[in-house]
Amino acid sequence: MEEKLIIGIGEFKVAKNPAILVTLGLGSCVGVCLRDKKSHIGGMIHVMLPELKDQGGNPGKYAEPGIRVMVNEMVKMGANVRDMEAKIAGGASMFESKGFEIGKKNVDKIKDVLRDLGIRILAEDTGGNRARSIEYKIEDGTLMIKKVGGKESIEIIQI
Amino acid sequence: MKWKDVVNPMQMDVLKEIGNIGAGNAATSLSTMISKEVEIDVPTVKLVDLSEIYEYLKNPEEIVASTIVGIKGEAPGKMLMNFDSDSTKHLIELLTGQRPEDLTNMNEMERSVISEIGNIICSTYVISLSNFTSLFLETEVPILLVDMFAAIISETSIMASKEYDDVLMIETILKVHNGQKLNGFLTMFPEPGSLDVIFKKLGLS
Repeated sequence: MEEKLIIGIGEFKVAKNPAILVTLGLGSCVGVCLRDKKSHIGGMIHVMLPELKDQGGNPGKYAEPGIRVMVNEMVKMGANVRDMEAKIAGGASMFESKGFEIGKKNVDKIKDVLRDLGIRILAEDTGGNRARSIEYKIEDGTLMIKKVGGKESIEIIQI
Repeated sequence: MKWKDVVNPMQMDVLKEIGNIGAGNAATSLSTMISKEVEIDVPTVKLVDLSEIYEYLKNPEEIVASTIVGIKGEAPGKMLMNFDSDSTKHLIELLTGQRPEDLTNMNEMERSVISEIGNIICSTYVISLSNFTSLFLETEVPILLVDMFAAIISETSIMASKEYDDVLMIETILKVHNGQKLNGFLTMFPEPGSLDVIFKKLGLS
C-alpha cells in the first residue's frame, strides 16, 4: 500500500515511489504534479498565485519560483530534469465575476515555467468553474481528479 | 506575511466582539425569515495557516452551499454564509414549502432563495459592523457557490488577502433546534488594511 501524502495550500512535497501525492479543494489554485519517469521520484505543488513579487514570502504559494524550488528538491533526491514529465489540474474560475481570473493566470505562468525548464506537460484538466481534488501516483504517473458532479456526487476522472 | 504577527490579543478580543454584534443581528434576521428561534455560539476568531486548512475543516470535500458577499467601503472584506447540504434543503423547504432534491442541480427559485437568505444574513452583519464602528460600509451583490467546502474557504480567503500565509476568520455557528437540526457557518474575512482602519476608529491601534 502506497503512502498518501497530503499537500496543503501553498505547499509542496517530494517523494520517492511508492507514494501517492494528494491535494484537496483546488479552486483557482493549480496542482502541478511532476515525476521523473526513470527514478520514480515525484513531487506536487499547490500553486495559489502566479508570481512572488516581494522577497521573503512562502515560495510554495507561487508558480514562480515554487516550481523551480520543487524541481531542485527532486534533483537533490536524485531525479533528472530531462526525464521529468508533468500533469496539471485546477485553475477554475469559481466566481463568475469578471476581473478575477487568477486561475487562468496561474495556468499560463505554470506553463511558462515548465516550458522554460524543458518539462513536457503530458495531460491537463484546467479551467471550468468547479473545484477539484487530485491524487497523483508516482509509480505510473496517473492523476485522479475528483469534481463535484450532479446529484451531489463526486465525479472522478483519470488523466 | 502572517496575520498572527500583526494582530495582538486585545485586538483579537475586539474582533470577537465585532463578531458577536454582527452575528447576533444576523441570527435575528434569519429568525425573522424562518419564524424560528435561532441560537448562536460565542463567536471565535481563528487564525489558521493556509497549509493547515484541511486539518481544520472536518470534512474538506463536503459539498456545501455558500453565499459570498463582498464588503466595500472604508474597511473592505468578504462575508461567507455557509450551510451544509441538509440545512440548505431544510431552509428552502421552510420558505417555499418544497424540498429540493439535489443541491448540485437546484432550479432558479431554489438558488435565489438560498442566496437571498445568505445575503440578508451577511448584510445584517455588515450593517451592524458599520453601526458599531461608524465606518461607511456597503455590500456587493451576493454570489452563490455549490462546491467543496475547502475550495470555497480557500478561494474566499485568497480574494480577501492573497499576500497572507494564514487565514483570519471571525466565525460563528448558527443553529436552529426545532425538529430538524440546522447548522450554518458564518465567517468574515477582512482585507489586510481593513483591520487597521477598524482598530484606529475604535482607538486601539
